[in-house]
Amino acid sequence: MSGDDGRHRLGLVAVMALSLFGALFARLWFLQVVEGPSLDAQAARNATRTVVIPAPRGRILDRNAIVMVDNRESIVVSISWQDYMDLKPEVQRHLLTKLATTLSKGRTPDQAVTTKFLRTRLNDSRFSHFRPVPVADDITYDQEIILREEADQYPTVSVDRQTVRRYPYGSLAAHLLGYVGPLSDTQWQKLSKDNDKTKPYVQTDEVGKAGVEATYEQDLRGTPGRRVYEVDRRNRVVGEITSDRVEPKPGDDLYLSIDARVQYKAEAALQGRLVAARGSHTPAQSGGVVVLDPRNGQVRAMASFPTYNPADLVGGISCPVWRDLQGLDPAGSCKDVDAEIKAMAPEARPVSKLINRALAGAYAPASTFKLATAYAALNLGLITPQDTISDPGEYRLCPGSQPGCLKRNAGHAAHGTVDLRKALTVSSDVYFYRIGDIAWKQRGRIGDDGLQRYIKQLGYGSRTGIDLPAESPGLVPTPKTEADTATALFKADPGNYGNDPAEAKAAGRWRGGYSADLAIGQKVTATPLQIANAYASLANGGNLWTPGVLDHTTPARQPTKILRQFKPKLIRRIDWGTARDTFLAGFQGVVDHSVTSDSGTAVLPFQNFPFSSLPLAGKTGTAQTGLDKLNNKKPENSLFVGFELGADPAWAASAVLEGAGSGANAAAPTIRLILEPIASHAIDSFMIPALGAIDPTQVAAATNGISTAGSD
Amino acid sequence: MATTYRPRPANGRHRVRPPMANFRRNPASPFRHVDVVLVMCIAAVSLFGAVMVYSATRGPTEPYNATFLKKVLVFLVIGGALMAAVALIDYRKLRDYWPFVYGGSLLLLVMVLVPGIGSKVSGTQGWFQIGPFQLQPSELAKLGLIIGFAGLASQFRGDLDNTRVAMLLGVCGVPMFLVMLQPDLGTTLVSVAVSFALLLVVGVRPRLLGALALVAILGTTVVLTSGVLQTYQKARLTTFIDQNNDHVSKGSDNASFNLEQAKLAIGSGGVWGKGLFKGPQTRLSKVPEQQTDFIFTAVGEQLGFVGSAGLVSLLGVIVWRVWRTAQLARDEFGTLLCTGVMVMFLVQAFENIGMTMGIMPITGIPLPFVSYGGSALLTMFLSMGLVLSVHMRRFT
Repeated sequence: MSGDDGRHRLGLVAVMALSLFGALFARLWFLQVVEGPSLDAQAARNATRTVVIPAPRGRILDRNAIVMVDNRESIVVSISWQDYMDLKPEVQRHLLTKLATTLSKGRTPDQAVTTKFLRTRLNDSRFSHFRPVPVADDITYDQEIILREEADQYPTVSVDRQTVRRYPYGSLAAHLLGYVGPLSDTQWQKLSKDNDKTKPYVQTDEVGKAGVEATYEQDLRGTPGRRVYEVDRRNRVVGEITSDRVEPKPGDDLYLSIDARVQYKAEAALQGRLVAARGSHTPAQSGGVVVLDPRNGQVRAMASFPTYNPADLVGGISCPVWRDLQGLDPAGSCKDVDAEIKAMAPEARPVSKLINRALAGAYAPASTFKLATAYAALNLGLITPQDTISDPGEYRLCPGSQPGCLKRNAGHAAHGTVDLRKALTVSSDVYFYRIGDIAWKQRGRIGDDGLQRYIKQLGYGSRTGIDLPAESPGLVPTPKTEADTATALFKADPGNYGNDPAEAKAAGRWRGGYSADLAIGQKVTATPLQIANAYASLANGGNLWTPGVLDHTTPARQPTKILRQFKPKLIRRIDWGTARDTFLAGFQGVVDHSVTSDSGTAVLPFQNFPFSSLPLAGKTGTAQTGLDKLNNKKPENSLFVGFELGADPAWAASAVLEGAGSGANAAAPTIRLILEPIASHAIDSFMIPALGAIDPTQVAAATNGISTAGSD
Repeated sequence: MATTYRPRPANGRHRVRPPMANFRRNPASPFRHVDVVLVMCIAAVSLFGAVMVYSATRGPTEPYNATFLKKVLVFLVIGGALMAAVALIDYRKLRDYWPFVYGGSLLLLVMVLVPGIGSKVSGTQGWFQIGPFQLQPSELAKLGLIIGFAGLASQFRGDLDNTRVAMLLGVCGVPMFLVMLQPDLGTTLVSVAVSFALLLVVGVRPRLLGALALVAILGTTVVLTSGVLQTYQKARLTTFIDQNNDHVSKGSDNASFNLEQAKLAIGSGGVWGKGLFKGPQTRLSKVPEQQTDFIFTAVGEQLGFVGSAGLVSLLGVIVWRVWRTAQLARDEFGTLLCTGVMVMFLVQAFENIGMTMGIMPITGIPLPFVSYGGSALLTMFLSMGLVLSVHMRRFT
């Protein structure tokens, strides 16, 4: 190396060094100054994990503050996922085996906890890995003691108390209250796109699935708390940022318009009278009852049978419970329950326990519908209250002997000279067949849906808008709906009408007989709630209210601070006109023999009812339900609707007992059993038995003094 | 100094020679030519490094852990003393002793490969466990290579023929080969860069250098495709090419994840930084091996662009001072020593900082004077001691 050459070459090294440092500065500038803010935001997300602490749901109470649903503690076993993953594989295996054995103690083999189940739970993505993963709930105290005392044998396992729903009165008002369950996959998908702002859901949350639990989810749901943890690069918790901590806030208490004692009486009456009505021709398996306050539309009681105990549904529905709820034999597979039911013969299909028949069951209203027919006929000018006809027991729609031309009264009874009042009291079908007949014949003047237009004003054919899910609108058919249905059926499968459009058209044609059937409530369907609501509007002078089950809400355990208050909501005003007195007199005669010499259809079941303290009117109904395969008449549905008379009536109630015979046979006694303790004020001192227990057989036996005689 | 007899002076007493008389009288005295700027920069960078290591290891919450800080401070004291000692020795003595230094470093490299004597850490057979300390001979070997090369080359006095170039190549190649056997890829790569620079400065023809570069590239390809490297090493080397490759960043121990966390840490510092001990990435140990290879992320996050640019500038000053010493050196031996040390320092700093920012492959190369690691720190102090010695004696 000669001097100058060496210097020259060192210069090259210097240039290299300078360029390397230049590169470092440039990159540093880019990362920290140009990209700094976005990388900073990314780093902030990277440094913390937020864990949601669920809040207890609000309680549900009746209007007298009797607690119908509250919360209890459940002992929950959880495994800390992070710590578990740090265990050696053989320790993990040993732990799961040991835990499964302990948890399975005292359980039947099909409920036993298996290691496979535990492993699936640990890998279930629904559960946050920053919170212990729950693997078993409602374990016994003994198991809790074992797990706590031998904690060193169960590493990473923790035992906690968690709040779950408790039902002090068992199945009381089950359909109305509803139940809670885990978010379904579809619900969660919807929520993950558009979550609640103030009370965001996490995937493991439970939501109200039915009844007021579903309708008032927003009120009942508490505001979840939050813990923010700092985590290291292995996501291990390093510490908590206490300044970001939010404590959970329990949900609002819900006060219903329901009177729990009346509710109990209604359920006991329904179940008892179903047992009493059960016979060789009357299966009497199911029914629904609604009790309303005509003053504002509030629901006082709503019963449906068969029913279930929501407590069985806490913590997830097991397969046998699910099958039982569908009315199936609990033993069996849950893979495809719907298909299994579909494969059964229609008569053999099970009676689902989940349906709230009081508002989801659409039944032919039968003679209870005569109020609506008369209302429509009066408004159309087809009749006046004073018009009389002669009722020989049958009515001829058309000459000749074709089927359906000659319509008969129930029991072929001839009622003689009949005006509107008497027609209601004795339930003259002939009087109403005539209305249907005239309405159809005068369709040129009043339109081919003249009757239906006015009938719908009373709320039939559309949902009442009650604050409960799954309400049925019922059906009031018109010539147009009839034709549309046939067209739709033909379109869906031409085979329905032998591939002949003309046949479909003929099938969809309205006939005069339909109008006659509709007039006595046969071709239409309505829910017990709609029936009760229509009569309530007669009782209160013309206010058709939207029924409601909520009275008010308060913050948790602050009964005086009202957040949301029920306000009566008018569907529409009904003008009963001068005929109202005729209606009231006619319906009073149905139950109260002291006001008329005519034989009311439900006089016998209401014998000795304290009319003086609760003046009552009512209407029976006996609905034909068609023919079975052997062309035998299927058992009739028994209906009754009753309401308080007077200036300020507070009670209206309707009942439908499926396959239970005539209206006086089952439904009328049911309503009597509900209203009698109210009339005698025995309800005020009534105590609901423990767990809401009902013995229907005993109720039936205790009330067999009530006459079930009387016709439709 | 030859002593000659001098008669007793008139006042009957010899004049007492005051201390440091030589220093005051002799303008060429080595002690007058200590490179104070270099010493100050080294002190500043290494103390800065100690604080950074502490910030990366103290833990997220109280009680804070100071064991790493204490160890670093011990190393700094030992290292400083070693540097001073080396600076005091005339580097030219190494011209006679270089075969022992070079041979010694080779011996250590061979010994560390023997199982039982050397120990293995994450796949690399490269440590001696001496009591509580670990000695990494590959670090010392880099210095051994520089001294060996400089010694041999200075004996040739610029008169290079093919045989002599081959001998020089051999001096570089043997320790590199031994380090490859461990395998310690980072050190090998630094050695390659150092060797190239030394060959350039010593006067090897550019054409030959080009050929050598070709061989090196081919060699790298062979190494990458054959099974010499562990999978994790290959992944580390190639991650920087494909930084947005998400599917490899799931686990927390792989290279892409390391790089992602490192970039987040540096980037989140912004212009002014999060403040000392306040960076979440550093505080929560988000960046793996942060006190060693990824120490620069702690600087970037806590002190921002201002702090990290300051540190890079200080490193730049050190490089400049060593380069300047190479130019000022009195002889070729000194020039080569300083060139070697400079390139070693430069390449390590660039590679280390570059990998944390995603512009260089991830290798286990520490940041000089900043990263936690005894062997690397001591090697750097020894190297700087040599440079100081060269600087001090440029006039004698």
